[in-house]
Amino acid sequence: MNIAVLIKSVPRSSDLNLNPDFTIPRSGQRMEVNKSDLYAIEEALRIRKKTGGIIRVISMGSKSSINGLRYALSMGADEAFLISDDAFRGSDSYATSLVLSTAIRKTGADLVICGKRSSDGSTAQVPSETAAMLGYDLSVNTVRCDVAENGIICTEKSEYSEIIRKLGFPALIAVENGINTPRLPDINCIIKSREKEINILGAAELGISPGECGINGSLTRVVSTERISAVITREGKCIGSTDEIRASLISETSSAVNDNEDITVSDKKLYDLSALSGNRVMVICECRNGRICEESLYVIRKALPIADKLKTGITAVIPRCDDHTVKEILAPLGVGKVYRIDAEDLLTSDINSVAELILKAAETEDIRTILLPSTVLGMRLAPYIAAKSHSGLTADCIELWVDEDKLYQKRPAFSGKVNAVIISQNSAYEMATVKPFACETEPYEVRHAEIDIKDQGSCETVCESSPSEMVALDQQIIVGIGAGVTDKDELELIKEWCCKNKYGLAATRRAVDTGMMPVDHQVGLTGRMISPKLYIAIGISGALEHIVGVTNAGRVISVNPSRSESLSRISDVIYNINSKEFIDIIRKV
Amino acid sequence: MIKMMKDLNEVKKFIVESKYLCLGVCDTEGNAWTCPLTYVADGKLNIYFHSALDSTHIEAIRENPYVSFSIYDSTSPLGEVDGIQGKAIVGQLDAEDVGFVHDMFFKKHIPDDAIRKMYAPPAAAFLSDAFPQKRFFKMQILEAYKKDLELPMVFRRQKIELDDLIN
Repeated sequence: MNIAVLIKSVPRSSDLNLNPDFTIPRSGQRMEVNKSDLYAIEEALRIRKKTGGIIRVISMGSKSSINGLRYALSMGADEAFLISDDAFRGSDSYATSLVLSTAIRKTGADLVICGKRSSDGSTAQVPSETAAMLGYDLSVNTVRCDVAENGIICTEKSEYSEIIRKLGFPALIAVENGINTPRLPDINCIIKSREKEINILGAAELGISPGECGINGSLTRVVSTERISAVITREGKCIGSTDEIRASLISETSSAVNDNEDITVSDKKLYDLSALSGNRVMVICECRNGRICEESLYVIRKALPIADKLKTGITAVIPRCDDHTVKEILAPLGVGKVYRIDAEDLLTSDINSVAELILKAAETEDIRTILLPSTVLGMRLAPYIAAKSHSGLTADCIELWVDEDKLYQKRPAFSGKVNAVIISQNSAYEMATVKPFACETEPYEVRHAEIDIKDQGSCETVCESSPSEMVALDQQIIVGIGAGVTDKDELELIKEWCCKNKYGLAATRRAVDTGMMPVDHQVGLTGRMISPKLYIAIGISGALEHIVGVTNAGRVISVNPSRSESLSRISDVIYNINSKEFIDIIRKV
Repeated sequence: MIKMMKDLNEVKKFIVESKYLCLGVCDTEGNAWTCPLTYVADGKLNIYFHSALDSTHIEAIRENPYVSFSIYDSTSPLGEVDGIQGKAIVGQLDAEDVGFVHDMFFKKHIPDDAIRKMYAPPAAAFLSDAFPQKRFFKMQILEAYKKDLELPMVFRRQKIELDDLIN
C-alpha cells in the first residue's frame, strides 16, 4: 500500500512575529513538526506494519521544513517530499489543499493520513478540502483505525456520538490527537534518515500556475490582526488570607447563581424580516433525535444581524425534522425558508450527496453566505463544500459582521495569541464556521413571514453511529482544572464539590494531555467555548489557548500560588493558594 | 594508590555490572540537562533504560538524539574512583524487543524472583498509551573514554576502541 502522510513544520508557539501582510514567516523562525502530524506519522507506521507498503511524507513549506521531513524519516517513513516554491507563499487553506492534492496525485497514494489541525493556522480545513479535490473517501476526527479487507474502518468521535465509518481506497484520514502515542525514532532509522534524499517539488514540477496558488490563488485574505493579550484585561485583585478567600468564594458563587437579568421588551433589538425577498444567508443545521441542535440555533442567531444588514432573509438546511418543530423553532428565529434533506444525520450520510443537495439549494436561492457551526459536522462538511464550490471558508469564527456588503469574519489564530479578521475574495460563496457560544447574543425579537419548507432530496446513510453522552458545560458556575492540579485524590475532591453544587467541570489542554481530565471537558482554542457567570480556574497558568475559551465568562477567579502577569490579566480575583489549600477551604464553605 | 581499569575486560565488566549512569542531553535550542538513570547493558554493550515520554531528558532526545554519558561509583574513596564516559545516540526501543529487554533489566535490578514478580511493572506497561507513557530506550555508544594509564596524575582520558571492547 502507498501511504502518504501530510506534515507541516510550524513555528514554535513562543516565536510569533507575523509579516506585515499577515502571512506567517517560514524562514528565520524556530520550527517544529506540528504535534498533530506526529500522530499521523505514527498511525501510518502502525498501518504499514500490518499491510506492508511504503510511507511518503509530504510537507508544503519553505526549506526550513526539511528538518521536519528528516524527523519523519527518522521515525520510519520511507521517502520525503518538500513542496516548496515562492509562488506558494501566503496560501490559504484552499490554495494549500490545491497544491497538496496535486502533489498527492503526482506521488500516488492509496491512503493519505494527516493531523487534524496545525498549531499556527489551526483551521482544520485542509484535510476535508484536500479529500474533496481528490475525490477520496474521508474520515475526520478519527480516534481509531482498523485495517479491513479492501478498506479501512475508522472510528470517529463527534460531540454526541461515536461513528464507525468504512472507507474504501483511496481515502484520506485526519487523525485526532491522542489516537496513538508517537514513537521516538529508533537508532537505525535515525542513521538511515541522514542519508535519504529529500525530493523537492515546485510549482513547475506540479504544473500549477501562479494564479492558482499563494496569495493570488487564495479565496480568503487576512485584513487585520489584533493581539488577544491586548483585548483581555481584568482587575487581577490578589487575596491570600483564608478568611478573605472564604468570604470571597461565598460572595462570588452566590452572585453568580442569583444573578437574573430582567430584560424588558424595550431592551431587545427588533429584526423585521417579514417583508424581505430573497433568503441569501444560508445556515446548515444539525439535528439530534429530531430536534435542532443548540449549536445550530446559535449560528442562526448570529446570522440575524447579517441578514438584517444585507436586507435579506435566512435559509436553513436541515436533516429529517417534522414540520411542527421547524415552524416552532426556526420561524421565530427569522428563518424564511427551509430545505429539508431526508437523512437521519448529515454526519453519517454520504458527504458528496449532502454537498450536492446543499449546493443545489444554494444555487436556487441565490445564496451569498453559508454558515455552519464549528462542530465535527462543520469541520467535515464546510471545507468539502468550499472546495467543491470554489469558496473561501473561515473556520471557528467568534464574530461576524457586514461592512460595505462584505462579510468580515473574526477568528483566533496562532494558538490563540491573535484574533485575525478575514474576508473572502474571488469566491462563489462567503463561507464560515461559527464557534458555538463564543459570545452572548444580544436579546432580540424577530418579525417574520410564514416559513416555507422544501424537501430537497434524500441521502444514504453510509455508516453506523452510537450515541455518547455530551459533557454539559452550560452551567452558571464552571470550575476549570489546569496542569497545576497534579494529585488525583485532590482532583476527586474537586469533582465531588462540583457535583454536589451542580457546577460544570472544564479542563485545559495540558490537563487533558497529562491524563488528569478527559478530552470531552477540554475548553479553549481547540476545545469548547464557554460563557459561565463565574469561572473558577484551579492550577491554570493563563495560557492564551485556554483563555480564548473562557473570554466571555462573567467573572474569573484563579486559584494559583503564583502571581504571574498573564494570570493577573485574565482574572478578576486571584486566590494566592495552591489546590490543596483551596480544597481545605471549600470543605468548610 | 590510584585505581584504574587497565584492560578492556575490566571496562566491559564495569559497564555490565554498574547500575546507574548519568545522561547528558541538549536540545536544539541549547538547553542542557542531565539525568541519573538505572540501566542494563547487553553483550554488545548497548545500554537500555526506561523513561516517561514527557520527561525533560526524553523531550531533549526527541529533538537531538546525541547524548553524553558517564558511569562511575560516586561512593568510592578519593583515589579509587574510576569510570567510563562518552558519547552515544539514543533511540526508542522497537516494540518487538521490549519483552526481552524488560526481562534483562528487571532481573538485573530486582534479582530475587519473588520480589521482582511483586514489584516489577509488566512489559505491557512500557507499550501502553495510558499516561504516563513509559518506554524503553536503547543507547548505542559512539565514543567511550577511560582514564589514561600514562597520565594518572592529571586524569586525562584515553579513547577506547569500541570494536575491541564489544568483541
